Amino acid sequence: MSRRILLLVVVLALVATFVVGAAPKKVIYHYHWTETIYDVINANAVKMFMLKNPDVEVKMVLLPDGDRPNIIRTVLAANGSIDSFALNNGESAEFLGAGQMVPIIPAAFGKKTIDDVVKMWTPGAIETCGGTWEGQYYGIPFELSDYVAWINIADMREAGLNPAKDKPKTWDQFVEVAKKLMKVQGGTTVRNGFMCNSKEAVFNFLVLLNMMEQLGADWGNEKGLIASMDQPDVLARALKTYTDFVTDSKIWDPALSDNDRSGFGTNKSGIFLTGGTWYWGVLDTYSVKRKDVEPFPYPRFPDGKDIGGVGYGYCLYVSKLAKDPTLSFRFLDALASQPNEFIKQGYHQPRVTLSNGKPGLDPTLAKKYIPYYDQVFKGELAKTAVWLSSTKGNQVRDIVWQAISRVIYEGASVDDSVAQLQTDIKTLYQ
Amino acid sequence: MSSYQSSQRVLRTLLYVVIGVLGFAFIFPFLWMIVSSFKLNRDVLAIPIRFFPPEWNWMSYVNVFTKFPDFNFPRFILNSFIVTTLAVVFCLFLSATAGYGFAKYKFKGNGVLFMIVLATIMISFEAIVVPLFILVRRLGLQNTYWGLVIPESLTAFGVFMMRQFFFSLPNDFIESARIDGANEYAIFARIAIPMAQTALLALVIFHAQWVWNLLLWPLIVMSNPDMRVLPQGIALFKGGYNTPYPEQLAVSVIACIPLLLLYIFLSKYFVQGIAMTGLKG
Amino acid sequence: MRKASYSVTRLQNHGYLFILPTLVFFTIFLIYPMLSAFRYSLVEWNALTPPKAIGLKNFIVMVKDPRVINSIVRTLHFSGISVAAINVMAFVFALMFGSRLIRHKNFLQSLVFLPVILSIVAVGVVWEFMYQSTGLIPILLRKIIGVSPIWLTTTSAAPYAIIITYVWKSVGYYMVIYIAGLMDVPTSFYEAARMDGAGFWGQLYYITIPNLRNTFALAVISCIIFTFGQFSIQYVITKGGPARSTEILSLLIFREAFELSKFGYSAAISVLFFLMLLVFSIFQLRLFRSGTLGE
Repeated sequence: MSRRILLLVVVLALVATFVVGAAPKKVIYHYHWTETIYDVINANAVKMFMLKNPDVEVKMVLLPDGDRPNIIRTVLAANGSIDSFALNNGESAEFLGAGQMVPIIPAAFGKKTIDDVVKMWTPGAIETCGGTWEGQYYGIPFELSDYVAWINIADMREAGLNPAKDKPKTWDQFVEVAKKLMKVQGGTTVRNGFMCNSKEAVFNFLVLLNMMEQLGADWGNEKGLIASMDQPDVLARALKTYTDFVTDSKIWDPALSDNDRSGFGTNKSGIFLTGGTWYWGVLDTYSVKRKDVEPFPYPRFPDGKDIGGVGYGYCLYVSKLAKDPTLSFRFLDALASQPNEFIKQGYHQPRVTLSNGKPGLDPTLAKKYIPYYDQVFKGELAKTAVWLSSTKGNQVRDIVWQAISRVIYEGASVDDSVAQLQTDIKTLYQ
Repeated sequence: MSSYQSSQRVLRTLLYVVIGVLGFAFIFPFLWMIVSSFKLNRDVLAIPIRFFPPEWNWMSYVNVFTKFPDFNFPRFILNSFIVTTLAVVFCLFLSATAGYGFAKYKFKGNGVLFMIVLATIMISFEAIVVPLFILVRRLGLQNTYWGLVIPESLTAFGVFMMRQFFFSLPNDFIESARIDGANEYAIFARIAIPMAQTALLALVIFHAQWVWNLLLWPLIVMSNPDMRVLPQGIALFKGGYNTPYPEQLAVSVIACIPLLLLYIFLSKYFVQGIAMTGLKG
Repeated sequence: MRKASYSVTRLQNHGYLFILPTLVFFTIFLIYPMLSAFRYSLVEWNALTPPKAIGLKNFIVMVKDPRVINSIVRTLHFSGISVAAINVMAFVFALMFGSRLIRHKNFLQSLVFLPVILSIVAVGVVWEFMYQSTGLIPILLRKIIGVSPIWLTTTSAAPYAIIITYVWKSVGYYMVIYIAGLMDVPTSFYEAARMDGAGFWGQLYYITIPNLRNTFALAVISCIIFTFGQFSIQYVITKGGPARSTEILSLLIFREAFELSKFGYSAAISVLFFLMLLVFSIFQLRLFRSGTLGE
């Protein structure tokens, strides 16, 4: 018994040594998501910042991307130690609407006015990345990407199609092409013509958002979303187009694979719609080769608007709980000052100039490291649909995904599902 | 050979076959996991399915330690060891004392108090995570080992289990010790605890495996990257755009080795023998 | 010989001291947050802005919410089948691995326990892959019986896929409980029975099962409580889908709070969850006649 007590004491002493020994430095906590390819680049930025500011210690809290907003929300709710964090433009409205962030402090960047700061990024970048709220600027853009369509041209050739001419331009052509790319063996689909994520709401929501915008609805903000609820025919047309992929033309079998990024990369799908410039780097880890793949603009509706893909971005924010907001902004500036390192991985950061006046993203690098940058990505980004900005964005996402799920998993009719969607959205914004 | 012996033979073979199939079904996913950790990322998910890697990826385990700058494996494992040991020891203490108290003493409110304790596992942990974190913060325990360990030591299941066990413990030992003049705490420590070895060991395994694999609470309470535990480390392998499957599986395999060793070490006590006589009449 | 000179009550009151540490820590770290959580059920709160008091509105909405009703049904289905399967299998394994006919008991026990110690993420990745339409399980099933359900994307099969994975992961845990319980049945009981001419089934029925009453109570009640409360398998493999067919109550509680930022509503559902379990547990403790209130 006494031996056990001794053991306990030893263990406690060990523990004490870990708790004690807190550094007298200033410690700032930044909450970010983990992406194995980019973590190295971020770690480097942190190291350089700490070298230049020896009295500061930066603790990067890396979280799985899906858990990131939830953890941030919990820590904020409990007044925990969180000085800065990263959010994408689908998430930021909720936090901005609750006053959780500090507006950009120009002095931290060595600038006099906020306009001088905004000029360091491409025009409109901060808005598209979700970093503005009620006329004020809060977020430092960290990524600006756009979904384009991707197709496997080796599969096209195998199906007797000509990659140069036969890439689909309308949604009807999309279905025709996908049917040819689909492969069935012994009653089971072994290659989807097209696929999206079978489990996650957000990707399906974004593709549908694009279709809605092409059909004239404005799903970029709450007002437009609510207004579109009075257009059931538009809702039904978009929903039907999307769900028909599963139920009608059957070019998408959700049971084959749940994740379209890995599915396309392992040739379980001929086409997918949720990849940005960064996908080249991801593709390299899979079996499909770069030469067998081509990005192309999102198909359109012949009578619809010319809207391509879905634009989204990540911004870095300073929390209102930050002990030293200026210091945190300086850190975020450092974190967002390596656009040329990121572009080598195909990751696009819209930084035009750095705070010290040096140029930011080198446009020739973009062309060099991102195949089809000029031909496809740049053009589509200019015409992109923008993710919904609403404080209840997560609930909207869920409602839309339920609408889609009802049709593709429960066999509900499109009209019934649309009716439920209308009711749910109207109740949400009462 | 008599018909009795041959029917015994048949039964034995049948039993072996059933056990073989079941054993295989149990271990197969684990084997798949191990084998897949030696595949290349593109082969993990490729079709047609191959059990063995078409190309062996010997680097996955090495990459785990070299390619991920935030993955400080030695530190994570040390943290996990400390936290798990503390949590298990504290849990044993609380469960044994409370279980004994509830089982062996008839005091007013015994039943009600036990129901209150039991009620604490009837609330899903996610429901209390936010208020618990607010409380932990107010007590200044955020980002400390204690803030992590104390909530992780509390499980009504442990109390429940020890109580059930102590119910089965015959009172004669206790009564005679009392007559011999021993005080209650001595009886508890010298008689009850040693007799409760099996149950305590089972509780050690249960609680150790629960704490060792716990992710949500450390994720919330511990923002200091140096004090992360292993599950938080494993979570670093799931990227937003891309998940390196071989490395993630490799890490998962490594992570379950300590628990496996613990189980093998402790289960010797279990196999000492169940009293059932089996089919021999 | 010194006679006991204190009253019975004073002796029995030592019990208070034994349970005191547990009561203190549980009250501070579990009961207090629990009550706070229940208080949240009376507000509307997204964790970022101050809570808004709305009285019983959450409960009124909850009672009519098809999503909640779906979750209750799914939970009962999932728990009912899982608890039954787990306990039957665990008990049989515990018996089997004590049988004289089987050698290598230790190894086999470890095999069955192995899934318990794996991390849920690894389990999710591996099993999800095995269930996909070109995955191992459908391929095997088609070879053996010619057909296979579509596991993860049909509302009829997905719950069973989850049950199978969950049972696989949990049986070992309860097997250990039953083994521990079996070990404490004195050998003398069995010898006496054998001398009275009882065979395997006789011993099982007259000796083993009655003496395992406390163990059964522990195993079954804990199994129900844990099964109700766990959702990581559903979260990792199907995320509650397809179309909410695997969205059990605990997953819904998590989602409403952490994915939809409705902490108040989530708390209301957790009150319901709590009451359901409380009723179950009281009922079962009486059923097993093991340590009921006031005993």
